[in-house]
Amino acid sequence: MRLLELRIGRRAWAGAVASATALIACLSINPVHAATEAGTAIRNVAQVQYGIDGQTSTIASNPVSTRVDELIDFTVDPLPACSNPTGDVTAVGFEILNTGNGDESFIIGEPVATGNFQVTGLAADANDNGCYEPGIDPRIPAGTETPLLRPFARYRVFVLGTGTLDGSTVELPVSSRFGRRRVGEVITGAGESGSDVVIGGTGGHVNGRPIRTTSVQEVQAELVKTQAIKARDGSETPMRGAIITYTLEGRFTGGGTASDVVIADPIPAGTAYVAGSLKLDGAALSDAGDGDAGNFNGSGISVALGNVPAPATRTVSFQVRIQ
Amino acid sequence: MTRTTARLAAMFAAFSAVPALAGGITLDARVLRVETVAGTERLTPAAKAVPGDHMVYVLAYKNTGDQAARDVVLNNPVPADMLYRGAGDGGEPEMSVDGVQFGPLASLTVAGTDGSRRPARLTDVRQLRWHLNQAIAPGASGQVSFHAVVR
Repeated sequence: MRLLELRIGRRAWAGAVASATALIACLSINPVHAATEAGTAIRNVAQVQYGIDGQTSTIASNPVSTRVDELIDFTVDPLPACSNPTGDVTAVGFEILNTGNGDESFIIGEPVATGNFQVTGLAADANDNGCYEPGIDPRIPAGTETPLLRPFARYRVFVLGTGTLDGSTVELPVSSRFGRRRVGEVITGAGESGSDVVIGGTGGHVNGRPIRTTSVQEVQAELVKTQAIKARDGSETPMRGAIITYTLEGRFTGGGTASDVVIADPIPAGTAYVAGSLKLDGAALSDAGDGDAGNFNGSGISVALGNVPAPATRTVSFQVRIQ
Repeated sequence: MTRTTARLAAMFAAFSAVPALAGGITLDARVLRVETVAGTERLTPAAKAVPGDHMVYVLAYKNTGDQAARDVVLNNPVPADMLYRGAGDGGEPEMSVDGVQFGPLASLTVAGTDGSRRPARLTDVRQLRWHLNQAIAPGASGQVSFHAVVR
């Protein structure tokens, strides 16, 4: 069960425990272009209508057809850092995005690191969640070919290593299955549906953009949930009718700005929300989904904090009554 | 055997792309790719293209009859998977985003995502129409063309 949630941008962290720590980075969403699929025949027929001697005729032209060849293009970009435990291993994620117009596979090369980071291997993101999870994401050797990726489909891979990323760079070379080629080179008949392959602007080879990790630009977020119970008899016994005050403290440390931050928490089963009890930094918020940041939707509360420049602490509180 | 031959003959008839001929006007369509070599644009016949390629569709008409043809109108839907980029030879065509209403681009609108209408852009254009002002004399010929990019 999701007990509380801290959403930043398009990412969400949920915890079944009372605190969650998250390393925040911007998730880049690549626009999806609907390039014409390789092998498509683009046909054109024109018409002319004319009058001769008072009689109108319409005729069609000959059809012309253009076959769309397969353009080999792709990008390799680093993934945002994750905060889940990875043991002694540090993982740097990369996303291979097929920006061509045919189903293609790509070959993952030998990663190269500088600084205090020593590469120990590669792992595939088996569940495509962008975070390395030992035991779930299998190790793969350099030279592994990805499955066929549809146009604008992605494959995520992790460079694993030890040491510190601070001041280091990690580079992941990736090639198309045709290897490094001249831009514009044509490989006859090698593309989808019998089309030719045309090597795009990458020349069939991309070095995953080197990343330089600096702690200054990263925001660390932590969400801590505490509760205080007050029963009718003045005790702290969680009995029927007792009021529980929940406090959700979002702590933003490091540097930079956490964007589109939302703190959300469902009302626990067996309790009822106390109307009008939602507060942000001690100030009351309305329960309605109106102009202010707070909202109670019948099953949970949420408070939209917008962009939060670090360092900052924002505190949300609300009350429930035990049924 | 006889049936197979007949079917092949029918297929050949369907696919042999000779310019259509009916009472005097022929219309020949071609597609060319714009290639820039050393800063100079060059048009080459192209049976193949990749997304992003700049193509020119040329419609060449000729009056092969012995009487003048009047009220000549050329029609060309913008081919599927092509994005219209503008007129070439033969002047600006009338444009349409829906195949019903034709006019200059500035007169056209399309429905936006929120239901309101916004001014049409070149990439919204799905149909082109040229009205030739002059009659085409016997033996006379001409052409119109338009530019488009492979999506």
